[in-house]
Order: sequence, then structure tokens, then C-alpha cells
Amino acid sequence: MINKYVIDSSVFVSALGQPDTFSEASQQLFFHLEKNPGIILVPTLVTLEVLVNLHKQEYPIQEASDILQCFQSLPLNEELTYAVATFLTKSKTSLKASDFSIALLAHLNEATLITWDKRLLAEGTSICPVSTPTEWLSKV
Amino acid sequence: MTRTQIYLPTETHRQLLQLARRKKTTLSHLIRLGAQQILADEHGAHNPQQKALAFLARPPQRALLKVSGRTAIDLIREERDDD
Repeated sequence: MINKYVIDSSVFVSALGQPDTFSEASQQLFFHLEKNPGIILVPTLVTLEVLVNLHKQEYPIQEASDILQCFQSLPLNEELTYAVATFLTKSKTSLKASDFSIALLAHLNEATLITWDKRLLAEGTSICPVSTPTEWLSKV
Repeated sequence: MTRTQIYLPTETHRQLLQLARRKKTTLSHLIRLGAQQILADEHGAHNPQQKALAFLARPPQRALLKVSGRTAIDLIREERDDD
């Protein structure tokens, strides 16, 4: 079975942008994903967040856009709207809409969400499997 | 997902149904897995995803503007909270 991963904005930005304490682990994650078969899924919202954030750091945006377009995109569309309604009639969530949409897209695609975001790590687990790059790397 | 109709040899269909029952999954799920595997094999190590992953694993050093003393992760969280 092929593993699927939804990668959150925080992981892309820490790998590409101004180096911070998360950069090395993010780059290691991408290195291991390159060597191991899997499908990388990127919600449209993540693409927008990454481009806006990198633009603020004066990163060449066309290059970043070209990189992100190499991954399978998960659009914010009517199908997702229907899935949100279906999910919320059965379950509750304390997540904000943007976080919820990303976690739900991971759930709908049977994917693991990889993020550095503390809120998604704490509250997203009720929707989909969630892991930091470091946690994921410790298992491979 | 896109709905499509396919024809399977009877014996293949029977074996897949048996496998689906044994693995407590569906025939559709097994067919999707097979299709994904074919695409992964076809693209090999040179598909666009692999090229992007190689770039992200070893991004070129750039002189970037430090937006603030906080990490990019904090900035993304702030933007989500502002929405």
C-alpha cells in the first residue's frame, strides 16, 4: 500500500525560507520522502500560505510555485464543502476553518498530516493521523 | 474522485473480491491501489514529485529577508488566527 502525506505550510516554509530551528528536520523529511515511495498531497490553502509567506521573505516566488505544482493538489471545492457538512453533522471540532480544512483533506485522502503547527498536532488527531517531521523520521 | 467503469476478467474479479474480504476492504480500494502503483512505477525516480522533493531536501542557499524574530511557523499560525 502506498503511503500518502499531506504536508502543511509550516514544513514547506521552514525547508525553503529563512533557516530556523525546524529547517533541518523539514529538509530531512523531504530527503526521506524522496527515497521512499509515497504520494505527497498539498491543499490549495497550503500553496497560498507558502507563497505569501515566502514572498514576505523575498523568496523567488515563481520558483516556489513551480516546486509546489509538482505535487498533487487538493482543491477547496464543492466536494470538500459537502465533506465538511457531512463530518460536522456527526462530529465536533474546535479547529479554525483553515486548520480544519487541511486536517479533513488528509482524512478524506487517507493520508497522514505532517506539520509543525502545535494546534494541528494537538487537536487534529481527532480527524486524521498527525505527525511532526521529527516524529515521522523517528519511525523510518 | 472520478467515477469510471471497467471490465475485469472473471477470475481476476473473483480473486480481488476474495482478497478484499480477507483484508476487510473493498474491491474499489484494491483497484485504486493497483492504479497508484502502476503510476508510481511508470514515473520512477524522475517524476515531478521526485524532482521537487530533491529540491526541498537540498534547497539552494539564499539571502532571504528575516521577517521578524519569530519562526515562519509562528507567522503562519498568526495569519490563520487572524482569518
